[in-house]
Amino acid sequence: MLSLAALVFLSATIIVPDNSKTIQEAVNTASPNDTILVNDGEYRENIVVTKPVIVKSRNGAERTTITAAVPSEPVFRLMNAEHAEIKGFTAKGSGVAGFYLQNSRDSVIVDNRATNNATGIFLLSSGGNRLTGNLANLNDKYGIYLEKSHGNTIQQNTANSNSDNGIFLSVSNGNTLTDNNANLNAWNGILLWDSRDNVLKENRLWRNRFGIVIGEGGNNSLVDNSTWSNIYIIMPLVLVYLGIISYLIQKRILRKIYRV
Amino acid sequence: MFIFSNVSIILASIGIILAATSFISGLQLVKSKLYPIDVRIHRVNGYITIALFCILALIAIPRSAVDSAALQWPLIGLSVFLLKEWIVRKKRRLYKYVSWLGGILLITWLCIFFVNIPV
Repeated sequence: MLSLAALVFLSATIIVPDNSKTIQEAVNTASPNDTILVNDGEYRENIVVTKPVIVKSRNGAERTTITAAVPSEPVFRLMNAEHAEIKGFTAKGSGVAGFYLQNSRDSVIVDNRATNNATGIFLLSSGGNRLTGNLANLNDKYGIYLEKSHGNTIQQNTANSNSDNGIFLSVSNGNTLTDNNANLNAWNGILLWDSRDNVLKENRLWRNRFGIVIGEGGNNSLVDNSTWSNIYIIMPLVLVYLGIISYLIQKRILRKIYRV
Repeated sequence: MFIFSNVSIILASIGIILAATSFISGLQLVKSKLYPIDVRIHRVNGYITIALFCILALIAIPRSAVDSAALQWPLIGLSVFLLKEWIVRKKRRLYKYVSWLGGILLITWLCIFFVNIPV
């Protein structure tokens, strides 16, 4: 308890652009457990985070957009980071990824938007991270992509309208995917490739070419995931039936009007 | 998610009902040649569905880059309708095929319903 209080007391808040001109400058000057608070606006940067800091926007992803200054680099790169947190940004314009976690552990990516990148959120050799409430839509390849990443929690994210897979796990084991949306993707809603012991629970996968595809993996658990609700099969039949009823009613009314 | 949570799915549902009505009255026309009540039902319901095709196509234009099917199917429906009109008015010897085209129009409406399911 005492150490927690000391931690709170010692951690500082750096405001961008008031205290630092750029987010990267703020990250460089921050000490572990500091918070970097980014004001509304459009920024053009590639940010590298290697230490346990919190980088968050003041008013959420709708008002804070970061475009990749160098398109061949990710917008946010967490490299060898532990216990870092990225919250409330829109990241776009990267030929790699909006958010790229490389050899990072126990970090949090929450309430962000990653659109118009090659991949929305990319985890490489990273474990124990939490991805919550992110939107990874309209990316050139994947919405969320995990490669050789184990024990991550992916919860309440949306990966829609991507040009390949919505969520793709490659050689990644023991991850938990819960309550995510992966719709309208050009190929699969969720693809597990050579991945084991993953839990897929209560995900919604609508209007993808294939819902869930598992290749060369084993022991994955699929619970209550949904594609189309039965209502969408029944409803057109009901509507055609209503059309027939409508015909009979219209005919009866017109017969009375014209006295045929 | 609530089934009728966007305008397009509501219009598509109305379209299926009207197209089914128009299709049945059209079949009656083919069977019994000129029967004025069926002519009226067929035309009124048919022309409303054409208006719905146009409205759905207009609604789909802004998102056509993401979901092209939402624009393609109303345009396919309009094309089939124009072909049907041309046969009815100009090519009487192909008249026996118009019921097929009516059936295709009904199927087009089912496709429009499915591409507009809210996700």
